[in-house]
Amino acid sequence: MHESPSLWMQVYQIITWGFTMSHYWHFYFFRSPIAVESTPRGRIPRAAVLLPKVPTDVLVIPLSMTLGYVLPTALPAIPSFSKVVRINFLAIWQIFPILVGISQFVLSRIARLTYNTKNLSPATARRWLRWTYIYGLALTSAIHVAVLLLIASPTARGWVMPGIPSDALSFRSVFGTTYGLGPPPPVESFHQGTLDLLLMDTYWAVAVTAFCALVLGGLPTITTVFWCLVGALVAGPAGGVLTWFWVRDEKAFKEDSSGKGDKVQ
Amino acid sequence: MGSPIPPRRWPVSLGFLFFSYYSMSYIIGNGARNGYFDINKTLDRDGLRLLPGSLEPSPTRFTGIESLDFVLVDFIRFFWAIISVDHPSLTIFSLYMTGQVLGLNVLMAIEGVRAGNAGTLIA
Repeated sequence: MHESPSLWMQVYQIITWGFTMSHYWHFYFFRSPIAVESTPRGRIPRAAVLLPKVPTDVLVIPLSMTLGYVLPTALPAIPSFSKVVRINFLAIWQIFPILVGISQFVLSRIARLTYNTKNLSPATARRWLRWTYIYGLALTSAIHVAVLLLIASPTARGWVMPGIPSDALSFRSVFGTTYGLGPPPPVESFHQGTLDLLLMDTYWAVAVTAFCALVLGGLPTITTVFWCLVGALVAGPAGGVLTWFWVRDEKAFKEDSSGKGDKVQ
Repeated sequence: MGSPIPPRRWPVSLGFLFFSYYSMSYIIGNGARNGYFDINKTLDRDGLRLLPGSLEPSPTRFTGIESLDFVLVDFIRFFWAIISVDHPSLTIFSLYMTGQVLGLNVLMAIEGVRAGNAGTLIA
């Protein structure tokens, strides 16, 4: 059923993202056969272990993520709904990981009935995997660029968020935290406290994922660094990390095609 | 399940434990130290559970299970502060975060379907 990703997501929804991801990647590092193949010398794992076990399962990820995460996230933010409706949407949103899991389960069963999974070639699986990476990077970069534009351009902000004072936003006020190395200063408001918490949550979650990528990949090549920087510039830090995994996969597939890697089953 | 753990991996494990400890310290610990959770408590007044900003009472019945509903109101307060746009920097950063979360959610979903992870708690 591939229920574990939903389980991990539901855990971080309750006990914070940064903390849960540190345990997810710790577990991954020790228990995933892919990590065992990758370390300790940053070796590229075989293509066979990187491809989906059932190719159609990766094909449905974009739709299940859209139905289970993107849509439930967007609904409470629509201001034309009444306060009570939006609050009820927020209550439902707390279980978005379960919605992702249900969507993935239903859609993967439909896809398995639609396609004859035994006749699908590794090339098809690779193509679908690529499209899933592209889906993740496309949405992440769209939001990344939109947010940077909203902060940098008062004109764009006035159009999207009318009524917000032109000096209400800056890169410092959005991405800067009041925390330093010492004890944190008293928080000024509930909203500022929420922002500080979310900033830390995001930075730690992405940082531990980048740490895991580093220990899995060993010393990165110039090509890998270049593409990760491109990914980070276009789609933010999570985009950079996602790009790292994509580049790693493509290298494994290339080695497999050139006969260096093991044959895909 | 996975293969036996190779030797010399414990320094990396220490790295993950560093992330685990300090992430919790910075995310939740600092929230306790800077008075954030105390402010949250002040939103419970006279038997009402108020929303931040507008200080209007929040609906408190969602599942019918009292303890679960109590926790849900805390979560709803937290996210209401985001969508009410009372603090534009918070709303904009939260929008940004939804994109970053999506990126890593897609990665976790991909890891979940890989042949190499089948049968583990990753899949």
